[in-house]
Order: sequence, then structure tokens, then C-alpha cells
Amino acid sequence: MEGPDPGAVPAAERFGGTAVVAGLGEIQTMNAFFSRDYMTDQFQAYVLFMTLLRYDDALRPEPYLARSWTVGPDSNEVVFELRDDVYWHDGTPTTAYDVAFTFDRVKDPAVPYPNRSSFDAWESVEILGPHTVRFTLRPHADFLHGWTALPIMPRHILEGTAPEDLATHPFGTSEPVGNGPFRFVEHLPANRWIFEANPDFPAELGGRPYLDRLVYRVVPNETTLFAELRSGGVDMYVRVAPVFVDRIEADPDLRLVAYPFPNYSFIAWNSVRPFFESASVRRALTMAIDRSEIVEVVRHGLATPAAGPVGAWHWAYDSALRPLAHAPDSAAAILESAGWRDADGDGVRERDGVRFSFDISTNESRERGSIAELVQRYLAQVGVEARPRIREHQSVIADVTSPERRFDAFLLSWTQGLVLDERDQWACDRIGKPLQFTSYCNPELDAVMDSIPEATDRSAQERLIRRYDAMLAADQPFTFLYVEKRADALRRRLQGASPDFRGELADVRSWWLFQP
Amino acid sequence: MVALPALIRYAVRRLLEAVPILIGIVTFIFLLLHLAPGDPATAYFNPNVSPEIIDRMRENLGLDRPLHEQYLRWLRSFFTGDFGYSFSQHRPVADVIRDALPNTLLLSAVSLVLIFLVGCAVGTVQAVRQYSALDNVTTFVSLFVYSMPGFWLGLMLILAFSSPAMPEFLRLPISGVTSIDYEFMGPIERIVDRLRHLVLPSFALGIASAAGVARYMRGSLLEVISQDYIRTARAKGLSERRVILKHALRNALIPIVSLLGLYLPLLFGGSVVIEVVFSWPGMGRALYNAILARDYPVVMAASFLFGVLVLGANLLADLLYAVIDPRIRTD
Amino acid sequence: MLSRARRERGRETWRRFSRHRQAILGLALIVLLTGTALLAPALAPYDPDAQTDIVATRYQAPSVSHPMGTDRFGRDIFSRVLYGARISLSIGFLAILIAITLGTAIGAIAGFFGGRLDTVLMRGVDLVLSFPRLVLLVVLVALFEPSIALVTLVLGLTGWMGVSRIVRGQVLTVREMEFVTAARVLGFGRTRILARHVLPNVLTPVIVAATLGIGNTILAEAALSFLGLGVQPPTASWGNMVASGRDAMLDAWWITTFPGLAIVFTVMAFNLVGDGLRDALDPRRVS
Repeated sequence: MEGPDPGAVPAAERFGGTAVVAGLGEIQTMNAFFSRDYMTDQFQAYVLFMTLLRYDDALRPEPYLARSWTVGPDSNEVVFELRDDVYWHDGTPTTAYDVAFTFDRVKDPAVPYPNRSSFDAWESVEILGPHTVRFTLRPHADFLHGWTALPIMPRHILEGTAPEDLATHPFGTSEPVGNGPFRFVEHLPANRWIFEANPDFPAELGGRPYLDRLVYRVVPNETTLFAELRSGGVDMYVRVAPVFVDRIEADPDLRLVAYPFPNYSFIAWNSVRPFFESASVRRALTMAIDRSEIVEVVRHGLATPAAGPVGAWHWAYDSALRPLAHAPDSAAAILESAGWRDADGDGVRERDGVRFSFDISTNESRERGSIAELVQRYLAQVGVEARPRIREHQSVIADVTSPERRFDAFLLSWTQGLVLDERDQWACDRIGKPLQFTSYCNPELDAVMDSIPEATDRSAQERLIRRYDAMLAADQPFTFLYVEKRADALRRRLQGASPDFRGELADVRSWWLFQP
Repeated sequence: MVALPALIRYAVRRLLEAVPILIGIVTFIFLLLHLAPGDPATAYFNPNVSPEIIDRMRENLGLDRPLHEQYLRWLRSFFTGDFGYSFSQHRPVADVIRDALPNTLLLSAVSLVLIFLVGCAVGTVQAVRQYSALDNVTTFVSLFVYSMPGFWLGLMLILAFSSPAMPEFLRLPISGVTSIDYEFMGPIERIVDRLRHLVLPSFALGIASAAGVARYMRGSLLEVISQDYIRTARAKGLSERRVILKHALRNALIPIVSLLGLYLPLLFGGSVVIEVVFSWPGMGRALYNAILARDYPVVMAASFLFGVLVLGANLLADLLYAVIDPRIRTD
Repeated sequence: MLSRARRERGRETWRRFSRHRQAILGLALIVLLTGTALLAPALAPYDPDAQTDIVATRYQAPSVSHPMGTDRFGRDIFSRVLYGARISLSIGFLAILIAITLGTAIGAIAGFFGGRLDTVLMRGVDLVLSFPRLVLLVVLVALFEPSIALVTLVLGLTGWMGVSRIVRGQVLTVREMEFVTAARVLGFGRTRILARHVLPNVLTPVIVAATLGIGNTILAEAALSFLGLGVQPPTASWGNMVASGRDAMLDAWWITTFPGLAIVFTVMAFNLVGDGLRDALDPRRVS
């Protein structure tokens, strides 16, 4: 960029100003026991509160609220040494008691903490000193993961509330007290959250943030959001609609940051239906679908065709595992040899009197509606009739999670956890449970999935995760359409922000506003 | 003119009749909502959340109880003035309403003023200059605006006013209710800030109805002008301006006032789209999001309020009719 | 005798209507629109759903080969506007037909029979009026699917209350008129009086309301599409064309503008005709 160089501004002159982050969705609560979406998680973990640990850019845990940790012999004990210079924003010190309290609530069955499974292996807690806490656990790979995602909650405020009443405690929505780099100022529901710099944030962790204030705005309509960004009312538009990408890149005041993100879109094939029983037919369907074109048309390039469930954001991602290429002719040949032939010449194949004709359910999001339309066209070219059924979101979820599996195929997208344990989706013993949509069962895969958490070092784990990825890529119980590249649009005046798969706000403490 | 006691008796009777209607509405909504697939815990549908947690959530929210039990429990607390807790927003429904309702009322009130001011002014000009070029042009323009989908008009306003080509003094806020630095403003600045934020959404919300009012006004005024006493007034040599302003306008406005009851519910109904487009944190959005999230307590409370507002506006309209037009029977 | 008088009145109405230049313009527009909707397959230069080589053909500005440009799938917008006319106009006509039938029936019964029945029916109208249409709509869409039939039905079933009020008011006036009293004295049955003598005399405002209502229905369908509850793609309605092109308004203005203008002109046309009819049918009105 022409003009003054922001890099030349000394750190001491970077303080001040209000940065506005905006997105389509509301952030409902600051109560970490009830977080349920990506932006909410980020504001809790990076802005208002602190987690014990955080991830570096290779997904390795590093100290944060915990100054250090020691893993006992046989990995069945961990001792965290906490920082002693962290205070709740009301002045109370953050101590081992807060950590133990948070852990107790997370393990309490009356508290529906969504990510409890991250703590399945963690058994008990013991306070060794005001800033020292010891946990016992079963040995487990990635055992520290939960502590990078769970913000520590203030015991002195929430202890008196019965676990089942925590959800409605005003702490979550109108009077949260944190200990992170920013303090809570105000929450105007359906409108904005306002935070201000915490002057007492430990100097060793960087000290007071440069920004005076950080605001999150809800703007529930894409065009409005883009207009606000363009006219300067918003500094960062998170997860931009792909249609704006070209304009953002052409605008000298804006910049676009795109990165692989653990969200993928897929078509789930109900393997109980005669069409989708065999892996080769499912592979043929995947080959018939031109995923590069979908990425171009629907995402304006902001995605990568996927082979299996492990995306490029993951450290164990195997770039040698190629997605099935678009090959309608081979797809047709496979269908032919599987007995699906169009004998009556109506353009749709049949076998044993059954026409290859089915519904693809999806919800009314425009992106998915478009994909369904494209898929319908691709499949028609190989003699398969797919009828998009575009419906309200909850109705789709209700049908696909029901034990009766009231669907032929459905198209959705979702965000994975940074630690992959997806047995709920694939394991044979989960058939009939809500997330085992496809009723796909492969005992060999089960064995691999069971051994991933047991693997003790990264190289062993890498082998297993790649194997897991390759097996699902081969069997295609889903057609893994694409892994999203999440893109954020930033005004150039916002400096020091470099969003990646850990989130937009991971480095919020060092954001600053450049005034040339 | 109807006698006042009769009018009051009528009003009281209508209010009493409103009670079963409102209970009917909330009951029907309750059944309808539970008929729809899905429930509030579905918000946690996610590969990382194990199904057991979601079951636990259902239990905590009381969703595992039989339907009639849930209904009675809700009804009981409703009659004691307790609207319950919002499942998706983790806070009392009363708070949700307290935050959203004033925003909706403010926007509706400003739009309403706009509708009647602009509508009557345009209608008057059209009637006075009947068949002139001005009449034709304004008729065409107002009909054009009236015929535009509201969200389309709203988006065009947003894009126009956020455009780099727009001169600085014309830059108006394109979304939200207040500026980011609102709390650092003085009292006057705050009022100005709020008013500036109201301009575009109230215009988008009200302008179509204003076109409608203008058409009524034009017709009404033309009818009055053709009547005898106006001719008499003219014959007495009063200036045209005086005839219109002092005599005709007042009588022409009477039927227009009764349109009030008609437009109030329309504004509430029409506000979802405008609230989404201008990210206005009002009741329409609250209700819409609550339905999608199956946030039953919020939907019930919002529907109840909606019912109260519409019934109130209707009653108001009928009373106005009765006062103005004695032919309407109130027995 | 009565029928001759009616014919006479009809002729007089037409004469006054036809003097109303704007109304004639509106009528011409409606005829044109209905005609193009009916002839869409013959008039459309392209298959409205055809997508070939999307990346090369999408977002094309209006040109000779694509007079209204192409959309994000490279589909010809002109053809889609033509086909969309079928959907949008059918929804408008059918929903209003439902609304008029229901509204007239309920309003006429309430006004003619009066008493308790009147009270009950009118409070029923209040109930439906004060019922948030959005809730009904989302639940129905969730239960079934947002199809053309469902959208039409919902718009029809939630659009009749105004009509029933108008009709009731008219019936209240008409039933006190001499020819109705005469029929009663002659001993005609009440149903017959209602059907033969009262109803024909209250249809005037109903026709006007219907004409104005079609426009509103088309606008309502557009609003539903904006919320994702309207007619679903790939079927093109004007409403979902405007709604689905909205994010590209800056770069590809033609995607929303042409279907948007189609809506505007249609709604205008129906309103012009409605106004003309009102003036022509109501002798008190100055024209």
C-alpha cells in the first residue's frame, strides 16, 4: 500500500481507539458452560476470560493462565502452576479454586456443558496451593485440548448458584466478570457487546491491549454488513459472504484474509437405501459431482474440494490424499457395472424395478440451496435423479437425527472440533444414535478411531488420523464436498490482526488502529 | 355523536371479549409450535456435542415433560406475570421484551408520523392541483414506491447512503439504533444520533403506507371540496388557501384519522424484514429468531403482545369510527 | 327488469372506467403480463433453468443475447422473469381467490344474520388479525415444505379479514334497503335473499379489494422469499429472484432490478385498475 508505513509506528503510540467486529449472528452468553458457537467461544476464550492453555499455530498447547504444567509418570496426573498476577475484573485474584470450580461444574451431569467429552479422561482435581492444582486422568492423546477451549469461570460469583440454574444466571448476559485482556462494559442484546481494555492484564502476557475498546456488532444481513464495512462503520466483517470477495480485494481500504477452517460441507447418503449401500456407487456419485465448479460458483473460490473429513487446517492433513476427480464417464461406467441401467430410456437408471431417484434434503440457506441445484444437474448427467427438498433447518435436523432416518440424502455443513473424535458419526455401535446419520459400519475403521485417542505421540497419531481420513475417503459414506476457506474482511486501519483457524480474535490483545 | 357512557360500555365489553381471544391465541401458538419439528436443544446440533448432553439440556428445560404439563406450567406462571426464561438467550423473557419493544415502538411511532404527515401533505397537494402535471407525477411516484418490495427499497437506500459517492453531509447511519460512541455523547447529541439512525428505517418502513394515505387523502379532500359549504365559502370571497386550510382540510382529515387502527398492526407485521435489513433490534427480529430457535417462551410472549397491540389498535379505530360516524352502532 | 338495470349500470361503469386513462393503462399492462405468463414457453429465448459452463456465463450484464443479463448460475434473467410471471401471478390470483371467497362468506353471514353469530364471527376475525402470521408461516413451512401451494394457501388464509369486514359493513347497509325488505315480505328464504339479493349488491368493494390485494400478495411473497420462506429455487418467482440476487446488487444490479421492476409494474397495474374500478363503481366519487 502507498502512504505511511504502519510498521514504523512505535508500540508506545499504538494505544487507543475502538475497533468494531461484526458478524451475522448474535453472541448469546458469556457463560462458558453454555457456549455453543464459534464467535461466542472466541469472545469468551480470547477477550473476556482466559483459558489455562492456548494453541500455537501448529496446534501445540502453550502456557496462558497456567504458567507451566508438568505431566506425571504414565501420563495419569497433570499439575498446573497458575500465574499469580491475574485478577478478576472486580479485583479478586484468579486462583486454583476457580480452576477446580470450573472443572467441577463441567463434570457435573446437571450442567449441559456442550464440550464435556473433552474432559472424559479427566477424573478428579485437587488443590495443592493457591496457584497450584493437580488433576488425575486416564492417559489420552491430546489430553490437554479441553483446557485450551474452556475459559476459567469465577468461583466467587457463580458458586452459590445451583448447577441447573447456571444457564439463567445474569452473569452470562448482563453482568459478566472476566479476567482476560478486555473488561465487560455493556451488552445491548441483538445489537452489540462492548468491551474495554483491562489495564491490569499481566505485562508478561503483553499487558494492556492497544485498543481502548472492542465492540462486537450483530448485523443480520450480508449486504448491510458489507455496506457498513465499506463506509467505515465496521473494522472487521467476520466470515464474509463469498460474493463480496472481488470487491474487497479491489478496494484499497480493505483487505481480505482467507484460511482453511474446520468447516466442511457434505452430502450424507443413507446407506440403508438400496441406492447407497455400496461404496463403489457412492464413489461414483462423488465422481459425478463437479466439486471444483461448486467451489467456484458457490464459494467464489473460498473452499477446497475435500477427500475425507480431515481438512488442510489440521496438522495431520495428508496433502497426498487427493479428492476423487470429476469424471462423469467413469461414474456412469461404475453405475452401469453395479447394475444400474437405464433400460426404459427415460434418462434415469433403474435396477430390479427401482428407479435411481431420491430426495436431497437441505435447509433454506442460499449457499446450500445453490449446491443442491448444481448437484441435481450433475447427477442428471449420469442418469441419476436427485430432487432437492429445501426445508426449514430444524425440520431437516429432526428428520436426519431420528432413529428412523427419514431421509435419502441430505446436504449440510458443520464445524468440527480441533481434536477429531468423530465416533458418534461413524462407529458401528452408534447406529441408531442421533449423529450416526448414514448407518455406515466398518469395524476396521472403528478400530482405528478407537486407537487415535490412545496414541501417545504425534507421529503415531498422524499415521492413525491419515488412515482414518483415507478409509472414509475411500468409502464415501458422505460425499465430502469441500472444506471452507474462512475469509474475513478487514479495514486497513486495523493492524496486528492475522486471523487463522484458531479464530479471528486469538491475537486481539495486539490489535491496534493505524491513523496516518 | 354517540353518548359517552354507551361508548365506554362498548369499550369495556370489547376489552372483556379480548381476553378469550388472547388466551385462544397463546394456546393455539403453543400447540402449533410444539407441532413443528425440532426443539430448542437443536441449537447445539454439532459434531462435537454428544447426544447425551442434548438430552440433558432437554431435561433442564423441562422439554421431556408431557405437553399438557408444559402448557399448564407455562399458563400458571404467565398469569402471575412471569413470562419465563428465554431458552436461546439465557435470560428472562421479560428482559427480552424490555429491550426489544421500545425499539419497535419507536420505529413504528416515527414511521406512523411520517406516514400521516407525508401522506396528508402529498394527498392535499394532489387534490388541490388535481390533474396537473404535479398531481400526475406525485401519483406515479407514490404508486411506484408503494409497489416496491420493502427489503429491496431498504437495501437500495443502504447501498446509496453508504456509497463513497455520497457527499459527507448526506451520510446517514445505515444500520443499528445508536452510534458506537453513543455513551460518550451529550444529551443533545444523543437525541440527534437516535434521530439520524431512525431516518432510513422509518422511511423504508413507512413510505409505502404513506403512499396509501396520500391516495385516501386525495380522494377525501376532493369529495369535501365538491360539497356545498365549500362552494359557499368560496362564494363569500375567501381566499382559496384559506378555504382549503380552514374548512376543507379539517373535514377531509376525519376519515383519515380512522386509518390509524389499520396501519398500526400493519407496521408491526411489516417490521421483521425492515428490522433485519437495518439490523434494528426490535420485536420482529426477536420473534422471528425465537421461532427458528423454537424458543417457546419468547414466541408465546411476543405473540401475546402482538395480539394486545393489534386488538388495541382495532378497538381504537372502532371507537374513532363511532365518535366520527354516528351511523355505526355500538350496541 | 332487475337484470336489465344491472346491465345498464355495467355499461355506465365501463364508460366511466374507460375514461380513467391510468386505469386503462393498468388494465393493458395486466393483459400484457398475463399474456406473457401464458406464452412464456414460446417467448422465452432460453430454458429458464439451463446452466451450462456456469463460470463462463454467469453475471453477464444485459446485452443483445441476454436482454436482462444472466444470474449467478449463468441463467437468462429475461427468460426467468417470463417464467417467474407464471408463479407470481398465479400466487397472486389464487391467494386472492381464497381470501375473497372466505372473506365474503364470513362477512356476509356475519352481517346478514347478525346477533350472536355476528359477534362470534367478528371476534374470530379479530383473532386471526391479531395472530402473528409469521409464526403460522414458519411452523407450516417447517411441517411441510415451502412449496408454491403452501405459500399460496398461507397468503390466502391470512388475507381475508379485511374483505370480511368490508362485506359485513356493506351487508349491514344493504339488508335494510327496500328491495331486501320486499323480498322478505314476499316470504323468500333467508339464504335465497342473501345469495340473490344481498350478495350481488356488495360485490363492488370486494372486486376493488381483490384488485388491490393481488398486488399486496405479490409483495408479501417477495418478503417471504427474503426471509427464506417463500417459493424455493430452482422454481423462479419474482420474489425469490430479487431476494436471491440481493447480495450481488453492487456488482450485478440487473439480477435484482429486472424482477424487481416486474413486481413494481405489476403491483402498480393492479392498483391503477383498482383505483379506476373504485371511481367507476362508486357514483359518489368525483372523477
